[in-house]
Amino acid sequence: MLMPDHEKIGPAWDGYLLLQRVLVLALLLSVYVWSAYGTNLSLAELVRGYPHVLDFLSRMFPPNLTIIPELVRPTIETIQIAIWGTTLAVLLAIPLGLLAAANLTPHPVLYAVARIILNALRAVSEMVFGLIFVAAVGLGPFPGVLALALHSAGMLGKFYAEAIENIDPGPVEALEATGAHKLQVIIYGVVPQVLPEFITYNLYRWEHNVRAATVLGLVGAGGIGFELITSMRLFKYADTASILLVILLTVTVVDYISSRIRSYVI
Amino acid sequence: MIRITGLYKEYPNGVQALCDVNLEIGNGEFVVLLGPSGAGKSTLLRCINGLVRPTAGQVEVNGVQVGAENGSNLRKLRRQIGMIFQQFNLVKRLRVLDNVLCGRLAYTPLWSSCFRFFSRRDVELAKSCLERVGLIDKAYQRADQLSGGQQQRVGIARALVQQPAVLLADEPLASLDPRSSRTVMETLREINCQDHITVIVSLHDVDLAMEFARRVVGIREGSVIMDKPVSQVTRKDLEYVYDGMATEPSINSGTYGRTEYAHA
Repeated sequence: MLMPDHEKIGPAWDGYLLLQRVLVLALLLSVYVWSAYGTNLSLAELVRGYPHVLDFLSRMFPPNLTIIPELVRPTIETIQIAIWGTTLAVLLAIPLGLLAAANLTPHPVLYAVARIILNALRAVSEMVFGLIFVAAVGLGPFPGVLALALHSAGMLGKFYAEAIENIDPGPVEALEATGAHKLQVIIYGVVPQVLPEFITYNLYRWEHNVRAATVLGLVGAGGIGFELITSMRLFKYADTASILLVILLTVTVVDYISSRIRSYVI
Repeated sequence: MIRITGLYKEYPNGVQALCDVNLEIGNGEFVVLLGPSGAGKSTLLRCINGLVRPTAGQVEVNGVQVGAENGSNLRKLRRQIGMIFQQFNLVKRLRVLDNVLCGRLAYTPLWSSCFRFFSRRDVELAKSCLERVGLIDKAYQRADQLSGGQQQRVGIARALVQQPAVLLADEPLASLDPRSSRTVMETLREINCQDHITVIVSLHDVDLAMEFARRVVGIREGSVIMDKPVSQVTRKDLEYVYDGMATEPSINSGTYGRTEYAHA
């Protein structure tokens, strides 16, 4: 009974699938070609520029290791920027995340406002915030802290909201049924459920902020990025190489520390 | 005394969960709600402590009207009404003792509970409640390390520590094996007899219902269709509560299938 149906439907369905695949492939390909024109993508340019790259690299060697003592302070400053930037971001993101979680928000209007604020904070990158705050409070690490805090608050707030929306609603209902205050329901019913994710997100964000802080110096917002851009502007490529090595080392150590903390806590 | 008059509940998705429910439950009663899934038992229980707001009608608990109250009065009312759940609804990452202490939150000042601070009296009370359900030796374990039956007894301890006048139980046995089910029902009976707490349980298990209830309320399609002392409940009554619902869909789907076949 089934066989004739199957034979009848089979080939038609295969043809349709083939057509669909060809169309999707053609569309993807055209997007890539279009973007290649937009970005002047050219293998010839790369080949022509190859000697310059070699020249640049050869001038970086050997790295000037004698400047490393001078890099200790900006490196520490970079990590300090990340610590305060992340901490302020967490403090900002907690209330925003609570308001932006559909299952906890006290009012739909507050929910919408919190979501819009989070989107806006995420849309503006750390570098752009850095430029704004350098203009507002002057050169140095402090505008870097503010830049990281605002952009990271947007990222963290969204993650918190999603974590809160995914909790088991049962315990929350049970605590409401005991007559507990909304704040108590959050502290006893929601916080324990989201705590592992909360810690993981914050550590990831701290790692990311150390990396971000190494380039914030490019816009004058403190840290080792300032040394990096200075050395390049003065064509001291051997110094640049040392600075890049120090950044690599710092990022590796920070990632290691962060993953150790994570495995210890969770 | 719980007085329910003309209670209707329609959910936003159009489901009519309760339809003109009228019920009076005296202090110290042990009532079992029987009925098929989706009959409205859970909704009825949740209207009693204001977790669900009825579309129309009134619920009165010890002279206080539920739902018409603002936040703080509703919380004061809920304090006197303990509730246990099908899925236990413990906070899994908290210790057993902390889960029980959650039942004291409504009696604890907001500022001190923010720092997880409970009075010595509340901690002693929580421990005595754990002792009553036989789990004092598990007090410092995480809640998710306990078996289902044990978790449900922690749930009962959390309700008991509220020192409630009423205990609502929403399908408390549905996730338990037969032996744990019996232990839970025995604990509920003991609470009812010794503490004179009104107990209202929704159940699926007809045999356990007949053994433990003193009054049986049958619910079908959102309406109370039977309300009798357990001694007067007959086999025919139970069939009336369950069967009307159970057979209809199967006939429907059968016809539907046949029509499809005929057209093809």
